[in-house]
Amino acid sequence: MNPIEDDLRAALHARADSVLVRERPLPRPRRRRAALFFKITAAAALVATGFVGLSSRPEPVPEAMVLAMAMTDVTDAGAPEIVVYLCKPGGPVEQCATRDEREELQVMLNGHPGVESVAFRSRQDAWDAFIAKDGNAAFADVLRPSDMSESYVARLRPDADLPALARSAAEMPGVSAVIDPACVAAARGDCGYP
Amino acid sequence: MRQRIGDPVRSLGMDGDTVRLSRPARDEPAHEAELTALYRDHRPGLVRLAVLLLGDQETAEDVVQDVFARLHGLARPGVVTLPYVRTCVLNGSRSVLRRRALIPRRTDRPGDVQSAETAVLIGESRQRMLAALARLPRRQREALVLRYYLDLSDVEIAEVMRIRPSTARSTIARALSRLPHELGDNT
Repeated sequence: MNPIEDDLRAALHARADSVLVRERPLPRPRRRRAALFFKITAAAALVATGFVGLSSRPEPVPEAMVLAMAMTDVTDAGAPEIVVYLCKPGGPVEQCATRDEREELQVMLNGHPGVESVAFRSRQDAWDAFIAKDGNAAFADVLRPSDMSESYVARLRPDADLPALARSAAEMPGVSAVIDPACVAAARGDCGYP
Repeated sequence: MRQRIGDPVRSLGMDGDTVRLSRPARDEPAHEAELTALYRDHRPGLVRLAVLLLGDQETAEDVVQDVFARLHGLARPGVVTLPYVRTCVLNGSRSVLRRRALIPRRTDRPGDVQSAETAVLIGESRQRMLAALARLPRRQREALVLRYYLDLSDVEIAEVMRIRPSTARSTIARALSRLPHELGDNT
């Protein structure tokens, strides 16, 4: 231990000890992001069953529906992965990701020991994948690439703690939702974070 | 009268009237109990951690409150651990610092001002050390606070900062080599 470490430790503890922490009650739950998974599932069902009216394009296209559409091209890749959707302006997340926040998200994903690789999927990529799906060609006249959400697809190592990583990603600013595609493909219940 | 689950607890008062006392506590989900215990046991330490990252107590307390408000309802027990909450506090502090960086410096920002009382308590040389620490890049500053305030190991720091242990180690080494320059430049 060199002197500067000793001085630093003493300074930090002195500053911390000078803090008199006032009692405050445990805060009440914040309004969650409106049961996002339920909305995604409902919208996905609408899309899948063709109930989304092609003649009436909603303005703006609801974010839950956009996520649902984006999810239809997400398939179980056979290896664990998560899809981190960035928010869209006007969506349920108050503030959208700034460039710094995107970089921070990328750094977090790339730097995480459980992550093998990270790929960015643009709105155009998401739109292309959605339109290419069987039965979705008719949506090409109604939807625009700008309606879709951008996302990062993180391929995980087999021993990675997927729920922990998904929750960490969901906590990052500008993230709208994090989805476990294998869970969606298996139609299990709780596939969305937070 | 037969008491049903969920009914208010009733008892007979002196005059024989039925008196409503209180509702029985519903079964608290395990994760809510964990959250309550974490809040009770670790909130002061988390506020102090945020003070060291942010510089002012009011914002630090708000960050910690905000973190706990968001942690309600995480569905599975065992998710909300102390390292996880520390990560949330770290992320919350980063968001505050980013917002502060956008505020025009027309007036002193709250984080720049330390009370005279605090300054006396800490002492001049330690204040200089804290000022030097504040001039380090954000990641180096965080790593030093976690190491020298919380005494966390490289692995524990890596877990909180969501980086690799080797990155934590090298970040601390770089920060320690830069700190004397920051101290020397401002003495």
